[in-house]
Amino acid sequence: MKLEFEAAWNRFWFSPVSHEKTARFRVAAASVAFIYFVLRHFYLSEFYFDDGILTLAKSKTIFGGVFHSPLFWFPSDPLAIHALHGLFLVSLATLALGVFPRVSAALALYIHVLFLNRNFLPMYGFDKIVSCWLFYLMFMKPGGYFTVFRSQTKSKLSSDLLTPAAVRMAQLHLCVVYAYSGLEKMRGQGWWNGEALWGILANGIVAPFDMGFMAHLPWLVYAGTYSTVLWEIYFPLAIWVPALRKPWLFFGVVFHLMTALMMNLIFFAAIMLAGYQLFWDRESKD
Amino acid sequence: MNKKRLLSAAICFHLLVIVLYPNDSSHLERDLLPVLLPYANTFGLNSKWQFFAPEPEIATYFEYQIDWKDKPNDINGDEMLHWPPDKRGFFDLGYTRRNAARSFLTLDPNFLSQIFINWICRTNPEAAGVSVRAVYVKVPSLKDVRAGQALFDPSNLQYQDAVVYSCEEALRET
Repeated sequence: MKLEFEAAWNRFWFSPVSHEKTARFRVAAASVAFIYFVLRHFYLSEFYFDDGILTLAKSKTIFGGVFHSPLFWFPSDPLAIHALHGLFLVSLATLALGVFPRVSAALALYIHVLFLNRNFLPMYGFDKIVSCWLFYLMFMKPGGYFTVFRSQTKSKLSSDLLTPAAVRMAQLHLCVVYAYSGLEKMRGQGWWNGEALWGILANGIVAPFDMGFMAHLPWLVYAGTYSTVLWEIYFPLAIWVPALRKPWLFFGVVFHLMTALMMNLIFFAAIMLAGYQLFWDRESKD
Repeated sequence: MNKKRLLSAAICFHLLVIVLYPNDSSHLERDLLPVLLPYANTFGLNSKWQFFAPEPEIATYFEYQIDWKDKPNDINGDEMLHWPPDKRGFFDLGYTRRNAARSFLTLDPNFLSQIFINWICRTNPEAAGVSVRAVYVKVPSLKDVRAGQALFDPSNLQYQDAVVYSCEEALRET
């Protein structure tokens, strides 16, 4: 029995994965992150300079420094901050282009965490997911797909142990994200009585459009509320059932497109959908 | 040692972090925090996953007035400002970031004085104090909107009592 378990474990974690799939994930995640963080240039001084909303000295004391990386440091000089940000963008660009992708991912993650620790205030879901994807991309070996190095030989399937393990961990991490998101909603009355979606769409700060007309379509609100919760909670189970995987992913695509349009969470939707590449295997059965 | 077994041990630890850490109600999580947290902090994996949970957040913003040194005790008549500023067009690049910051500031009353008031006073050297209050934008119920109540109406605004902060004290905390 022990041998059977070990064989099943090894099959799950270490079976070769498609390099084309990992390359799609790499390009999608890095491209979205690059575009979004290029735009950070326009509010860099507001959140990361010492004359911005939070000084460096104060940032180190938030929550008593408990959530700071042991490797945290950050420059005070504006030029140095711009340089650090520039290096971060370069690492994302090289990651997207397939230039030493694992090193690029490690460098990007390190600098990303520095910026997160410098100021927790503007952090939201997008940053958290970027951290996750960069972490797993540190271990995914390039296989010659979607890279500027034309001469690199393409190999269809991975031959190492780290790449398939990283893919599996990324897949499971996405399951954890949705599971927690759904289960945490179960503590809220709005998600039980069906009105939570209304609370979001009618929120003038979140929703870019006047969605008052939805009050005359209450069943649509209830359907949206309940389907969101059910889809999230059962994602970790349904995604592993072949017959349910496509419908669940399709719902996810629609769900995130709606959040992009209705809640202006365009980049968050894009970075989540980048992770869906890991569940879509065009070349071999997964 | 077999490479697969070594890697499997690392996988198990990593799974423990990503599965257990987000559950801060768990006694096991609290007991293992000294082990989980440094790893999670180093790799930016120290996240809780509460998207619009347990309830969608109530829309909030801050209204504040600056008490200028050259006009002591004359808050009335001073300009009422609000933060975050209104969204500028569909693609306001910093809007989501400022809203996230606003949300963070409402987590703890001390954050408002130590961060927001400190910032206002640092960027306005002639300020003697700041009066600030939170404004909650109540969302009318589905039933009320169907009955004719406007979605965005001044009557939906709920004002917290204003609190006055001294810039001298706020800047001392820098």
